[in-house]
Amino acid sequence: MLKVDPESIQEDTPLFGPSGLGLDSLDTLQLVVAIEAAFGTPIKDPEMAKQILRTPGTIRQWVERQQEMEE
Amino acid sequence: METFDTIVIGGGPSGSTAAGLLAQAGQKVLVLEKENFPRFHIGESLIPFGNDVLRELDVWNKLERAGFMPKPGAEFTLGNAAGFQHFAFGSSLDSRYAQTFQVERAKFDELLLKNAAEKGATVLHAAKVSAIRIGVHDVAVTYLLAGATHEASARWIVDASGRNSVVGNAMKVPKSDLGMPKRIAVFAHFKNVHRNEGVTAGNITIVRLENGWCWFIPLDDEKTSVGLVQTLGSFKQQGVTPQESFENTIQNNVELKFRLKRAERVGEYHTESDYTFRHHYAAGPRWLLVGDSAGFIDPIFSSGVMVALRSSRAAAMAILRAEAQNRPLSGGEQRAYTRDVKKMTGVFLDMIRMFYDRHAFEVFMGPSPMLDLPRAVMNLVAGNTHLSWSLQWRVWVFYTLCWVQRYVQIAPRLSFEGNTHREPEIHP
Repeated sequence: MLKVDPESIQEDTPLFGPSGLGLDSLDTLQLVVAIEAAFGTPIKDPEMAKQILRTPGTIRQWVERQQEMEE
Repeated sequence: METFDTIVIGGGPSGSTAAGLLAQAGQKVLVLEKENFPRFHIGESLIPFGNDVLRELDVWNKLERAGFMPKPGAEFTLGNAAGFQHFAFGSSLDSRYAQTFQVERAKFDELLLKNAAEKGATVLHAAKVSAIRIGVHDVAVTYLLAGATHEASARWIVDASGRNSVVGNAMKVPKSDLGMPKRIAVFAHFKNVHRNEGVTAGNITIVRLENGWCWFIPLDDEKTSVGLVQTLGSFKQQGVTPQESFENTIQNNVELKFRLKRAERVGEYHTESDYTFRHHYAAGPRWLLVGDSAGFIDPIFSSGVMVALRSSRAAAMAILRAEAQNRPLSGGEQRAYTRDVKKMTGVFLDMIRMFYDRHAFEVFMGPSPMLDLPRAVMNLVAGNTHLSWSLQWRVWVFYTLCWVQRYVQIAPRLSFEGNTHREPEIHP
């Protein structure tokens, strides 16, 4: 498990890479599953997943659009 | 025939800047504007490095009072809503550049032109230039006003006529298309367009599509300007009207559909072809080309008004320096002015090429926290065309990374897929 203070995570905190939270590929998979379970928005394409899971902000934007358009 | 110190052709932002600064310095100035203001014009977003000129013209406070939308930054996203890059000007720029304005041009241009008149310039509306004579020591202009022909002469002429480039064409100045394809823009004003929360509601949003891009410019509490830019070639292939192309594009891109879900159009669709050009030189002994008249480049980075303001200031300064010694512009001064203007457009041309290059754009959109590169890119986005050395080398590193990205992936690849919610097409 990651040891990160949730307070330190901002909208534009990178999820991957040394300057960010440093998530790995297993975390990615868990995130994709968690996002689908929580919001009903499946991310099907691995390339898209990388793009969407860049920061909390990019996830929020994408999920918001998907939900709005499903209505 | 009335005589002036300087005649300015065109009353848009470049014309009123040149006229305002020259009148402020005590010159007798005539502005010939072919339309009756207020009038619609495209180019509704400023960038911060034009702020200095607005302050010099004493219009900054007027803009604040007039209720123009404060613009604290610029954001870039993709049609499929996957990917986001935000530039908050205040985060790394001097407080003078922390914010600028979104401007409905009908109001903005009128305010600037009135300001020039208040400073003493003679401003004529609906005055159409029919002939120009440019001599070694003086210039003369023939124009039509209210059905009658008039003439005026002066020692200087400033061409602020926009892409018509009245003087540039009269002097047969050669021009180049800078290797850019022709593009077409379709745009209109809407109300009830999705807005960001908080101060970022004033941001410009650029949505990059696979074959073009859209702008969202919040003009006031109600109105948002929305436009689509694509190459003329790709538009013609679709075989539809500009309006249909706009509407189809909205439907096919999640991000656009989301933003315009509740939107109502106010006013007509406008269409404009964007023909990039730049004159090889921008000044002669008694004349200067300013703003779009010197050259027009793709509006993706909202550079138009900023270049108009700064080139017009440079032109006004050149005139005042030469006038103080009662002489025309020397060859060296003409070349220096041309270099100055070309540098302004050149910085943006590099950015524009970066934006349209898929791999370079990936670097632009990607995280690059090393070497303080984001601060350098921020300066570019804000319109800093005269970079200090510490910014300049970072800009070179940034463009080098853009080039490397073609061969080695250093920033995440961007996909434009996953865009639509259309049912799969059924092929019988």
